[in-house]
Amino acid sequence: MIEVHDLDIRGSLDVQILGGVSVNLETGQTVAAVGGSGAGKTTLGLALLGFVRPGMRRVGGAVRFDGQDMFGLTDAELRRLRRESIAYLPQNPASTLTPTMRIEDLVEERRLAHSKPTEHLLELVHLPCDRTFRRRYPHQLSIGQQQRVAMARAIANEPRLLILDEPTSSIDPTTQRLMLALVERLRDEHGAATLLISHDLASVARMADEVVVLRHGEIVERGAALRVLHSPVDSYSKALVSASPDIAVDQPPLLEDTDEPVPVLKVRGLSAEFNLGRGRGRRTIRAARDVSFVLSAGETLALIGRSGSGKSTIARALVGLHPPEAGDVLLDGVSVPSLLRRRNRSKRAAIQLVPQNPEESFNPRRTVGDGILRSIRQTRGLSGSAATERLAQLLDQVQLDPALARRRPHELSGGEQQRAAIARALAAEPKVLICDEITTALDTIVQGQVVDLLQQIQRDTRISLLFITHDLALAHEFAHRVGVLSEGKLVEIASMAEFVRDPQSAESRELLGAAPSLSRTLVARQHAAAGVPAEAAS
Amino acid sequence: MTAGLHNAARYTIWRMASLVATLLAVSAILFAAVEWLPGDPAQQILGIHATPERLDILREQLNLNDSVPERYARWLWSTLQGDLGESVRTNQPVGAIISRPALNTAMLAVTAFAAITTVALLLAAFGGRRDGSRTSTVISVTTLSAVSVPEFIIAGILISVVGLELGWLPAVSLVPSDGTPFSRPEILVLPVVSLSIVGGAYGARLIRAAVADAARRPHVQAARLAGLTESRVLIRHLLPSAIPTTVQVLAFMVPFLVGGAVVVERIFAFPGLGSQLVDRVALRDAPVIEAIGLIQAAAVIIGFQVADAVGFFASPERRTAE
Repeated sequence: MIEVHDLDIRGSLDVQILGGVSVNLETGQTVAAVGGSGAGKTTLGLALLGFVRPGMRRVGGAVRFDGQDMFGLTDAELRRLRRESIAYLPQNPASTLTPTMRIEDLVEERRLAHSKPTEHLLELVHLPCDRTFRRRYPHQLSIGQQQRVAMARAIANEPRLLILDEPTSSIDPTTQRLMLALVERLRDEHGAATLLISHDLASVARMADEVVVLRHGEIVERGAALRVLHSPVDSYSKALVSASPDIAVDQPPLLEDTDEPVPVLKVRGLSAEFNLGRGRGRRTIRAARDVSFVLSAGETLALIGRSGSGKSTIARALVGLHPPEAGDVLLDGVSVPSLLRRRNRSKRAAIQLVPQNPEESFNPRRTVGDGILRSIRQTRGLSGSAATERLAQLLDQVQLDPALARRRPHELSGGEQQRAAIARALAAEPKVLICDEITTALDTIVQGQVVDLLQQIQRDTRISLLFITHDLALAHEFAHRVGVLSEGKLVEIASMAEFVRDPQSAESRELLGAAPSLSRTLVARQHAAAGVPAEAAS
Repeated sequence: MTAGLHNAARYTIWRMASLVATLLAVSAILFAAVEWLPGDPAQQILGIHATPERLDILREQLNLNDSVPERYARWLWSTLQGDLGESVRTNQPVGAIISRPALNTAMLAVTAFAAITTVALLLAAFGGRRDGSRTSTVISVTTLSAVSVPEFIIAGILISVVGLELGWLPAVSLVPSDGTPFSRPEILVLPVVSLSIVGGAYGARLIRAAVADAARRPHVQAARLAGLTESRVLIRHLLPSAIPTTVQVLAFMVPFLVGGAVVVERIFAFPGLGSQLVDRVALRDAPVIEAIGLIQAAAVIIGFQVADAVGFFASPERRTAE
């Protein structure tokens, strides 16, 4: 049905984005494109819509839909094809909703003559369909509801081709299951073909019939999904599969301290609120409720929770960027003022944050080296050659090429930016390093490298890590203990091994159930193929 | 729904109150500013050869010996009652002096505002919807050139070419003594064109940036990839996000047209409020200056209040905030 033939897309300076890519999608088939960031996956997805992003151009090859070359169509023909036969869900589905339009108008405009009524479409994605709800605007919905509206929009035309770009990265487990069911329904009822773009190999294993592995815009391996994910041949595919965090794979025991744990950071009864909106329309959200935990020297504590569970607010409160309503923070048994401006230099230096988005945290007009130097000067009081020397040490410690430190933040890759941000935090020689979702924007291979780096730094310096993430499988690889947050409350805190073996709260079980496991999914599919009932398989 | 209505009512009342408060503050600043104009009004009126006795008498008549707050209070009170006082130079009522220029300027400003809005919106929509396209670049360069040429040069070229050389339109815009500018619309054409070239280009640039910004938002790309027609993408998905900025930019045209049009008024000998103000400042005619200043300030403040209100009602997030 869809035939991508020898597609060649170049970016500025003639950089290859896609080179000689050929993929076929048959009716009812799901093909997954996997690979790290910059592999050209999204460009491939957009090419199936006959779209090349501004700044890129197609230099060769074709995309044929029912034999018609999509790049040879007139604007009107292309629009018609997109409108009637294709659905595209980009990485952040909620961002596709126009904020000035009502829910019903957003769904309505995608309907065709034969489509189901808007009410029915909303029901299909498990949303209320009463008039009050339909007349709301996107911002009045939760993020999960917004994602469902985007899904209702996508399926409104009963598409024959579905393009899903990283569908699981921003979606909570319940919505993921719903999306999966919708994709299956479209496939079974309308024979829809699906292109799944993902770096989450577990979800690929669950959905895909075929996998193509992309690297730097070229296909390095292709084949049946189970074969590629189970026994990859290409070295890059192997690296991808082995870097994929897997909750079901037992981790080698972490180096356990023989000594008694030495508490470094004590958090007692921390409660924090923040205001949503401004002026008289604001709402108060209780982001942390009576949170208490202890972090020991050389220990990694993972704080896990879905979006909106209060993770980032806790991080900000600990570094003094968010005044808490109650509770106190003790460092080596001494109370730390809750506001940053009341903390003296040594207390500021002792607790450092690596933020979620490193690029935004560096001054875009200065080099990243300048940013790190600034931290060296301000937290350690070094200047001149002493500071430059320290910078070199830090860059060496985070394994960042000194030449890269002379570049500005946007000229670095996501992984390099994150290393620079870690170096900047380490410049203060902190006792506690708070990492707020620092791996979210990275692909699995780079994620693994950053985590390895953190582990190595911890071995060398016995620094304490508070690793905030929604990715339980990744935390499972290296955190000693785990705390589960739900609606601002710390519902469970336990050693990682114990937690995985015997979760205590409903939230924990839900998170564990949803954590990706490539190995488990592969086994389930092999059993399914062999006709073994799912219950027996699990 | 009820939250929306409730918000709207509260918003309107709040806006009205702040409008009155701002006008009061402006009136005080205006009064003080005229007060601080260098020189002694009595001396200026009577000339340098006046005797001290005559000066004293005139100061007494003008109440110049009272304290500033006292005189401000008296002026404010009579202004609120609709009495703008009399010119200190001609003893004519201020209302009679400024009503014709005010009407002339209002007609010029309304016409020019309509022209500027049309020009700016069209250029901005075509220039902004696909940033980096050839249309976009051409519009960008043209508007930049238009903005950088001073009004008096544009007006001068128009007068010499269209007015004198070709003789199509009058080169001066004298308003007939028994009519309004609308009774001889041809006199408005050149002033309006001069103002729209500068104002329209300036507005187009700022609005174009807002449109281009909106065009880069992911929901606009999503709407295009959903196969919606270009006009629907523009009208439903792209332009609404640009409304708040657009109305703010258009509100900036009010001070430009009400006060800043003085250059164009002068060149075309158009008897408007701006020219009148310049004349009266030279004469140090405090009551007239204050009255004109107040009218201009009111127009500007109302313009921005309307822009804020449109921005508020065009943004569901603000309108429906709970």
